[in-house]
Amino acid sequence: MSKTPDLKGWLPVSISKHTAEPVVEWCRFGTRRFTESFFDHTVQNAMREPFNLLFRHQTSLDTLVDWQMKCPGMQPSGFIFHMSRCGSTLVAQMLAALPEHIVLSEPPPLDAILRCDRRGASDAQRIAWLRAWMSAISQPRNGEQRLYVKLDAWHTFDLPLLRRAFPDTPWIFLYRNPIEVMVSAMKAPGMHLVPNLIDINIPGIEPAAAQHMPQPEYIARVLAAVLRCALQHLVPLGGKAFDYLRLPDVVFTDVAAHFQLTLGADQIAAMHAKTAFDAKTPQLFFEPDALIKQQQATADARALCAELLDPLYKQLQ
Amino acid sequence: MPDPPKAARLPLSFDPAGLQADLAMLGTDEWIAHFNTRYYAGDWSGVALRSVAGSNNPMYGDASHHDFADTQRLQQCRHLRAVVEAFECPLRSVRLLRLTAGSVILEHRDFDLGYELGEVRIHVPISTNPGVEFYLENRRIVMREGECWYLDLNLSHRVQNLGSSERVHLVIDCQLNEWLRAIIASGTPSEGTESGYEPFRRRVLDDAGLQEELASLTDRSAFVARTVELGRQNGFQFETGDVDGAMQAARRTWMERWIV
Repeated sequence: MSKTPDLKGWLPVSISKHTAEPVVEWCRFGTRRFTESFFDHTVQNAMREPFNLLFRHQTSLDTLVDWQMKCPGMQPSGFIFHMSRCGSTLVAQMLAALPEHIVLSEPPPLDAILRCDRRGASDAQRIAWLRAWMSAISQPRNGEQRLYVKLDAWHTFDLPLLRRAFPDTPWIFLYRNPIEVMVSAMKAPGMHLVPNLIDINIPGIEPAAAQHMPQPEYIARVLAAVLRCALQHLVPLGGKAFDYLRLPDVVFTDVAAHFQLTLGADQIAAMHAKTAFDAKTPQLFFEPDALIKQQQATADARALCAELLDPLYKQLQ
Repeated sequence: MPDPPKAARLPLSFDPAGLQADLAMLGTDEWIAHFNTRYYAGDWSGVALRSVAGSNNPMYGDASHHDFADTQRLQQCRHLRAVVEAFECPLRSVRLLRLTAGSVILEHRDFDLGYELGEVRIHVPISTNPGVEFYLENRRIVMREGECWYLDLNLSHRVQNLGSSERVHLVIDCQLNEWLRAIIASGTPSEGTESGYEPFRRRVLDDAGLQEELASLTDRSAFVARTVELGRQNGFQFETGDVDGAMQAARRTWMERWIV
């Protein structure tokens, strides 16, 4: 890990969490675009190629910083925060429909850098690594001009740090009627909705208490923490919140305006074409499911929503 | 005293022609196959020149024995005898070891040998060819006919004879004494050359041209074949199995990268 290799054409696609020091894995990405629903799906596809499996550079995080100085990439043009199960993948897919965009959907390396707080990394250190990673991953390989990042739902808790790292990047927060999110999450909970599965602090929930909490209550409390956090930062940190109900049309109007994105008719058509498909399983057509989800809600879930989530939802609206 | 080298060419050399003349006197039926067939593929066999008294099995050098005696064969081979007599230290087994063309000795360690243990092995190549590849801890060491080598064979080593003629070495097991220590210390240490798949992998990571070519091959078998070919062209010796194995290991490591 001593000398910095020539990293032109290589992307830092993975950062280890469980090694003594974080190891950055660089993969030679060619002209491959991040068009799959999630960043890691694209990486997995790249890793099917024998070359990528065998030949990767492994460096320290500081190499990212060296490389940023030698070969600066882009600044993000927009961040998408969200409460999960609320259309954020669709918005990312719509933005990725345009070839001039690089769109990173829930990239694990970004999470790995944020979680370096657990290793005792200072805010300044994490900010430097975040900027350097963003710069390296956004090297244009097809003439791309703009970079968008859809974060993980729990990164709403990291909003202040991300704002400090990227003060000029506009951000939005997506949310949805909580009962619909609850029904979806109870069927297949996201990683942050299972107690202690990933190493994060949920404001207002004691890790010890989390172990004994019934699953629906834990989900409701985490979702509430995310909404509360978004509400708290929305105005002071200059974000805009959008309800799932306004998707997809709001992307062409208010979201585009907030991201200072001017769209022509062809671009709107390309983005609109994405809305016909299920964002996470693009082989399937999109099926509206709000009504079904509301009907599937258990009394338990309804009670939790009414108590913990609906008041926050109303405030966001 | 500094650590002994892993390998060193000793300041002794012998006339290969004379040694080969001795070799030519041996009958084909005198060669006895190595008993441990798990160690090799093809034909690895030997002739005893000094062995446990009363035994003619050259492959059997029981460490517990101390009563080694020259065989009759050694008496009849004056060039070989001259080599053996050049060693001013107590000798244990002395034998000729033959690895025929196309044969391979798999990677192994000889745990009964070691500088610290006071038992070391000396090799004198009598007949060899450029296709013989000897690796000590994955570094290739080239030993030429008539040279005399100290090798730390307690370390992992392997041999493949990819040439078209046999490789025969005179192999002398010695007990360390002051004379031998001094001669090893005055030898020319050899680091060997890195070879094999892993050094080639590192080389590719430094060479944009090799990257360009290999990255363009998305078909697995075409990729593996070309990797082996480019390895050879650049002086790195490995087989398709090495690349396949590395790919399997890499896939496993990649899949398990999130597991604590």
